[in-house]
Order: sequence, then C-alpha cells, then structure tokens
Amino acid sequence: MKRKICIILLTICFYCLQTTLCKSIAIADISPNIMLVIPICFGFFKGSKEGIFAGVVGGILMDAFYTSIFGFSVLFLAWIGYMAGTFTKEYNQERIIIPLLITLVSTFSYDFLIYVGGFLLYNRLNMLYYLGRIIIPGTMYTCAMMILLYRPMHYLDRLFDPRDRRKVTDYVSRN
Amino acid sequence: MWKRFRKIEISSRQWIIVITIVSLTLMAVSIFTDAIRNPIRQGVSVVVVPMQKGINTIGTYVYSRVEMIANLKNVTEENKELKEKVAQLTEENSLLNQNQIELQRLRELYALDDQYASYEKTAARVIAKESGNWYYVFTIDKGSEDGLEVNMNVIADGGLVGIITEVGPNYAIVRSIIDDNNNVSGMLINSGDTCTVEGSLSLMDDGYVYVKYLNSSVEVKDGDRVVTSNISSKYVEGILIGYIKDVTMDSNNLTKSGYLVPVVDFEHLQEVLIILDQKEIEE
Repeated sequence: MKRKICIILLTICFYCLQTTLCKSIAIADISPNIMLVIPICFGFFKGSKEGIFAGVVGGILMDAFYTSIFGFSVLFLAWIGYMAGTFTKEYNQERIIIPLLITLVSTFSYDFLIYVGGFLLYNRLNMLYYLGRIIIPGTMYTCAMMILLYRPMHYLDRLFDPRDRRKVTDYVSRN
Repeated sequence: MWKRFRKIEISSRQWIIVITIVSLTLMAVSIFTDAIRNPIRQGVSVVVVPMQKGINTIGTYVYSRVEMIANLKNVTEENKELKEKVAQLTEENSLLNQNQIELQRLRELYALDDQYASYEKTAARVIAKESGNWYYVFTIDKGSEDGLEVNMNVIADGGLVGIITEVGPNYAIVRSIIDDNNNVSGMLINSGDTCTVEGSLSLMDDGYVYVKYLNSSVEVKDGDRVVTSNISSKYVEGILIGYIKDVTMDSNNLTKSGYLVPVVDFEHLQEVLIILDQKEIEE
C-alpha cells in the first residue's frame, strides 16, 4: 500500500515535470518522455504487477489532458510495465542495459504508433522525415534520461522496500 | 473471511488482460463521448494544475535570471543599436502619426469601427505543454471560473495563437495554429480573398504554416498580410495571422498555395490574451 501511494505521488511529480521542465530542456524541440521511466523501472525492480500499476497511473495522467483517444496511453504504459516485469528475474542493480533496451523499444514504438494513428492516416506519408526528426531523437533523449534516472529510481525503490528481495522463493511468488 | 479473500490471487497475466480489455473499451467509448474522461480530467487538474503553476513560476524566474546574465554582454552593443533605432523610429513615428490622423478621419468617414481593439480580452499564463513531441497543444492557468469558454480565440504579440479546445475550472487547453490538426480560415487583408491556413509538424522547424486554396486569379506577393476571415465559424474576424511567403500555382491550375510566417513567436510563448467575445454561429 505504501509503495502504491509512493508510485502515485512519484508519477504525479513526473507528470508535472514532463509538462513543464522537460519542455524547457528540449533539444531542437524534442523533449524526453520521462513518463515511461516509472513503469519500466518499477516493473523491472518488483515484477509485472507493480509495473502494470505504475503504467495505469501514468497512462491515466497522460490521457486526461492531451491524448485524443482516452485509454491509449493507459493500455500502452500498462503493457510496458508488464513487459518490464517479465525481465525481473534478470534484476541486478548494475544491470542497467535491460531497462535501457526496454526504454529504447517502448519509446520507439509509442512514438511510432502515434505517428501511424495521428499522422500517417492523415496523409503525412513522409515517414523518414518523422522518423529522423521526432521519433529517433526522442527515443535517444528518453534513453539518456533513463540512464540519469535509473540510480535515483533504484534508490527510491530500496527506500520503500528495505527487505532483501534476492531470495529464490521470491521469484515464485512474484510471477 | 479475510483469509479466504486473500486466497484469490490475481496473477499479472490476468491483470494485463483485464486492463487491456478495459482500456480498449475506453478507447472505443472515447471516440464518441468525453463523458468518462471529464471527471478524471477534473480530478487530475485539481492536483496537477497548482503544481504545474508552481514549477512554472520557479522555472520562469530561474530562466529569466540565467537569460539576464547571458545577455549582459550583448546589452551594450544592443544599446548602441537601439539608440540609433530610436532616432529612426521617432522620425517614422511622427510620419505614422500623420497617417493615423488621416486614418481616423477616413474611418469616421466610412463609419468603420476599430474592431480589433474593441474585443474584450483577458490575459493568462502558459503553464504546461503537451507531454509528447507530436502536437502543439498547451495549458493556460485560467478556466471557466475566469469566464473562459470553448472556442474562444487566443492571441499574443498582436497575432493569432490558437483556439481553446477544452475548459476546466482552473485551466484551459489551447490548440495552436501551428498544430498539425489545425485549420484556420484566413483572408488577404488587401483584397479580401479567402484562403486556408494549415498547421504542419514538418514545417514547424522552419517556423512556417501552410496557406492553401487561394484562388488562382489572386495576386499575392511575399509579405502580404493574412487575417482571420469574415466567413470563419470559430475565429473572430480580422486577427492578424501572419505574412505570406512563396505562393505558387498548384498543379491543378485552379488554386494557389504557399507558406505563411506566423506573427507569434511560438517558441517563447509565455503569456497570451484570450478574446472573450465569441463569433456567433448560426446552427
């Protein structure tokens, strides 16, 4: 319960930063999407269930104002959290490469889906332009943010769950 | 009782299936109605909007400080330039004053009202922008409590910024004219010919928007001014949108199209004015 409240508060903070600060640190008008960080990190640290929970919270916030179809971000972020959770067996504090790869794949596909739904269907066929100008730079930038935020997220995760979770029995119950 | 309840353990796979079904249903419903989204939006805005306002105030302060230090070097040079400019402008101003008097006289003659100045306006601050990189939509810190309504026009720097698409008690969401989804009906100020101004994501870098569907017989040159047209259903008449650039004949030989340089600097948009008068639409 404590963790759930923590995730909700953290997501709200991230959302506020995403819509304000992230727009100020945009490079060439491309800002990172730090909303993906929480479901990926918590899914990876603690398992699919928490990943899904974090994804749903983040998705509701994102959908509340700016997405044209309500439910899209909820669905997508929940799936990201779930996917990240399936890698929780590989969890190791130093192993940042797995969450990084998940970030890479998920940011890319998130932006790509928006391109297909919001632009390609409206006759914006110049896919290479959108790939090179928005999708790939955005993905790179989000990955960079993931590298920066991984340690703080790990610290927060430990702060609210000081037990040693590296027991074999835990694997069973977690999945 | 509690023990029995605890036995029902829902696995993550079942959770994801449930959420997938629920959100797909929500997506389907949201195409037709906003009924589900509105209460959520209201709840979220109560928490989020004050935070965004706070972060924004701090951010603006820090930004202006940094900017000030960075600018100090250029200031002396600029000052010199500006002094020259002041002299030049004073001269121009006196000339314009004469024109103004003439204009006044002509206006009285034609009994034309200066509509642009007569619109009732209110100021608001931009507090948040869309979370992705795809659309140019932003939130302002005033809402229905300040008398804002959907479809009110938003201006800044004397030019059109966009239109309010959603209103909450303490916030409103504005879609700008450079957004990929936006169309404005415009007209050339000199001739009154109508055209359509279309936002485009791919032109945003260059700072242009499309201007389309000009009649082939219309004579236009770079720098011609485009204002919101009298036949637009949502935009009040006569707000400056921008200046024409590179208009060419379309391949169909019936229409002309080209680019438009908006008056507003969308990159550094901080404060906007909302026109409280709305165009009356017959339905």
